[in-house]
Amino acid sequence: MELDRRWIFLLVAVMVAVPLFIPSNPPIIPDRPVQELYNFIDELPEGTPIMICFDYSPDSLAELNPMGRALVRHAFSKNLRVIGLALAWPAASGLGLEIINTTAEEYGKVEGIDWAYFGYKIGYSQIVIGMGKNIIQTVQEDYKGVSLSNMEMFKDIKNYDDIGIVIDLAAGGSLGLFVTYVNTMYNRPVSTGVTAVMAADYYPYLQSGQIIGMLNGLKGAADYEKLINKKDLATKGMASQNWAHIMIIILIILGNISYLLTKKQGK
Amino acid sequence: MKRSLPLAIVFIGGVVYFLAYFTPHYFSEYILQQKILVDWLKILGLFAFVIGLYSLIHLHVTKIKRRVENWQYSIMTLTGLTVMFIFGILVPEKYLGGIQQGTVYDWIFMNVQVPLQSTMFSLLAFYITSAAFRAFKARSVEATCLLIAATIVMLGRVPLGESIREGTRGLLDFPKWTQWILDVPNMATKRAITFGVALGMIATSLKIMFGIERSWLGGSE
Repeated sequence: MELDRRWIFLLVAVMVAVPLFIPSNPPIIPDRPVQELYNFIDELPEGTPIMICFDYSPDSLAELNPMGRALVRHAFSKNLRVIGLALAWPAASGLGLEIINTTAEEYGKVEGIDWAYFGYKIGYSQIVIGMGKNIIQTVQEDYKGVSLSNMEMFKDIKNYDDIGIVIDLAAGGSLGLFVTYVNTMYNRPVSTGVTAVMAADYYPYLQSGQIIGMLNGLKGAADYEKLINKKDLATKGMASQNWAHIMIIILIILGNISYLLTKKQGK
Repeated sequence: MKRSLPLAIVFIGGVVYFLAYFTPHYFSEYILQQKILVDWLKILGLFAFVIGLYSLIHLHVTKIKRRVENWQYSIMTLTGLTVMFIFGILVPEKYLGGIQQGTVYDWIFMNVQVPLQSTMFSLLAFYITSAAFRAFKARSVEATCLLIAATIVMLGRVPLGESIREGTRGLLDFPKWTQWILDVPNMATKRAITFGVALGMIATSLKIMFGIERSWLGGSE
């Protein structure tokens, strides 16, 4: 059965775009890994700093931006302090800042007291290792060039021992760095949010306890939005993902029926 | 000397870092956490950036001069580079220059680069769907197992899976089956692959450290 792939492309475009404009309330039950991370952050004492590393480029924005926003919303709603930075992708610097800045305005949080953003820092593994000893000495300045030692937020933050959890929002292999150094060397909690195609790779770390929970693709972001009771882009996107998956399954079935019929005719 | 010095640096650096990571002594931490290493990496990064920038400009200027196929895209590339450089570095802050939020640079990044890059990646959805129809055939037992697992996971990761579970009162529990596939066979296989990859990386790293693998030096032997 021959089908011009342009019809398939058109179907995909319609199935993905139309649900975005139709209000819906898809049933979302959070997965266990998402619940684990949510519970951990929810139980952190007020005022505890959490560190979020934005290690993705605009390619993966659709899956990882909603995760970042949901995490920052959760942190600010629990009066936790947020530290953001980018290590692997310079382009993530702007994305992370936009998320933290706009969410901070939502919750009335003040830069330098409730949140800080380091921007993109060159040095990658050395930055991760150095922050285990002293964050201010290693990073020195935030994205605007303001010295961290002049910020009220860092009066009681020296290194990872003072950070509640380090979360890596990754579109590449950067999580390995955090597991190797932050978790194994400095014995601090690490978690991650990754694209759906990468999530399967990190289940060994989840099973061994080297990461606490995991946000897996757009579904993971939607699960977290459900848990914090703040539905946003990820929840909206699940309607599109729903129909896209249905369409792929139907096409696979049709393709296989065609294959079996062709095979039978051939015999 | 041209080859010996880099080989010696790689050997010494590799051995020192290797021993420092696995030696539980405060001197190891002293070596690994040195601030000067961060400063060196920043300097190396800047040199690499300069080389990369020169290479990019040289490549595209050459394409324009020689009018190779699609040379017009090289003009777009250089224009984008120049515009971002001007607004990010040269234009004063009072005229919306700089790289902070609210500047022209930031506007171009958020409204041009981000949508363009996201769109390029989203093309994958179209190609995967087309490939699903053309190539995902149950030609063998393994292919059939793959198809069944893929179907279960695809249903389990969307609200339809939840709806089916509720509709069948838990009889067709796609989300639970998906989680089992990810937690058990996938986890076990990925762990084995990770071990294999790690052993390969160790072997390659040792070859590089001991100068057996020298392709990174470039140039002729």
